Amino acid sequence: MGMLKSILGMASLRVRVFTNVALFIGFLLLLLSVQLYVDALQILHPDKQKNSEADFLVVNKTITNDMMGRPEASYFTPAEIEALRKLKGIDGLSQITSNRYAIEAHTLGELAFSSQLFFESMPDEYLDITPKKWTWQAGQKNLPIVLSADFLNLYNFGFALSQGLPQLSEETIQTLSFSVRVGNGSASEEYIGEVVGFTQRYSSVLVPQSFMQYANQQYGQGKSKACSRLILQTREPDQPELVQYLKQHHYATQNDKLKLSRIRTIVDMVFGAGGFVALFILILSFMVLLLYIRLLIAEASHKLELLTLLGYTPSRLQKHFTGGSIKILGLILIMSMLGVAALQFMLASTLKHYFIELSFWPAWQTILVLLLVASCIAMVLRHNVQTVIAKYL
Amino acid sequence: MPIHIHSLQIPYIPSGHSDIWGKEIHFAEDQYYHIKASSGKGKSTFIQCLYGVQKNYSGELSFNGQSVKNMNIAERCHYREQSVSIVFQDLKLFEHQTAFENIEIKRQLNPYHTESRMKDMAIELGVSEQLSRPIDTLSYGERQRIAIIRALMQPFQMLLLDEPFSHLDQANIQKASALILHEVRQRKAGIILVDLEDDQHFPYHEKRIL
Repeated sequence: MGMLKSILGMASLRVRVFTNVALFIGFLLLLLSVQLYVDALQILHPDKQKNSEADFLVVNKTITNDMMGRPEASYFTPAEIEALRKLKGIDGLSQITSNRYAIEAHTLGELAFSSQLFFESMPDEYLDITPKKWTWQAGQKNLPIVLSADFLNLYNFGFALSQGLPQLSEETIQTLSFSVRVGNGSASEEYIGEVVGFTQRYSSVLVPQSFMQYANQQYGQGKSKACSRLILQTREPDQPELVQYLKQHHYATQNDKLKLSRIRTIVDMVFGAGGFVALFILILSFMVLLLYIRLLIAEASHKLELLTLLGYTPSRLQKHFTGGSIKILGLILIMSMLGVAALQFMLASTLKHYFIELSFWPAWQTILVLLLVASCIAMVLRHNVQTVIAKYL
Repeated sequence: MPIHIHSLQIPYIPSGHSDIWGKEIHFAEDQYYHIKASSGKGKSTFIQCLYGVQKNYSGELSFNGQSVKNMNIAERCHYREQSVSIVFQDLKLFEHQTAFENIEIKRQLNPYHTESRMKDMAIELGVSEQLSRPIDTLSYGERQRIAIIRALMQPFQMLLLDEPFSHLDQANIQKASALILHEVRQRKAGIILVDLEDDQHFPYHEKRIL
């Protein structure tokens, strides 16, 4: 190859340095935008990384003035439920069953009081807690109840303080029991209600599904009603399609979970634009490199013609023009990967102080993009140069 | 039977009373052919057809049964690297490279001889002093000898010579033809030489007029 070098000459140092620095910057920016995008998603979805539970959205129809006095309008029809179940990203759907019988709570220890109540129930796998005594069988007098943690907060901070009543801890409440009367008049039964846990997920008073079925059958008035509240299980409560769908159909849900959706749209846009700019720089610098090599080939056309006359193959000649570039390309890849790894390490260390968990290593997606883009460049370079040289044969 | 031609015809060259154009001929390896032609009869064109450069012809031209025109890029490169060697009429040397580099670029492609054997040849033909000089500083006769040495650097079954001695004196022609004959015999190869005049440089088996 030494002889070829002396005959065909080498590219000027200035141009080589320029294109290689540009390629390096392009690669670094591209990898950074991929890496930061993966990081941002990781921060927005910390549970994804731990492979833990999905999110649960409680969905109901928004009550409008128009719907007032028409309770049936707030029930989901079977078709609507099916449509929701088939939405992209929905892993599970359950109906929330409500009571169709009267409930009255009274007598808390020695304190006599009386209050109307409502119960709801759902399959156990949709609960965020698994209380120890969360079972009910026919004939059992103890009725386990799960309360919304919000209710306790309302009482402790909203009610008890202003009314001079004692504040209650979760533990205290779990030691108390109260009487619950289910049903009307003669057709009623007394149970001992026990709060066995607090749920952060649902604003409701929950009883085991088995009790709900029993009591609805026994004391229920009217036919079994359709359902007005649904639970959607999804790993991506923030995906824009879902948010859009809920909005279009005037369904309401916990808004804080959906807020992420807007953040994610912004993240998508920012990193999309960043990646686009990086790709643009990369393509531009690659074009400069390619055009420069083609210029060298054009300048050496007479010599190339002669070399092919002597029996040199285009692929052998192509190696002379691209061999150096491809070696340097390899070096650029390693350098940009090291750069991204260092930045990622620094970022993860910094964020650790703020209790934000981030991987210390570059994501596999980054490495994949690197390998894909690099092999594309090497292939295009080789093929293009070889085609140009073959014209001289 | 390396080279076989049949009804070879170039569009712009009239075949007239030619011994070559339009005829069927076998050029055997280990046989020496002299083809005489006056100017404009297509000497160089014929040689370039044989070497696979000129493809604008009708009829057949094959090497060991394979059509030279239809060789793909790899086959054509292999053909020139392995099977036929050539001294072009216009020499086709790299003008700005030294004589040594011009020979060495061919030798490195498919070395048949060592570098020292190449230098011996240069001594034999009286151009050893010129090896380190760029081609454009050499006389045409010196360049011709460099081109001859270059053609002898590779293996071949047929050597194509296009007016190879046009600028050499008798003494140098003798030295050059002796070297060529030695090399050709070593390879048990053939020679096809085209020239303006009749000559006795090689013990020809066949003489034809283009």
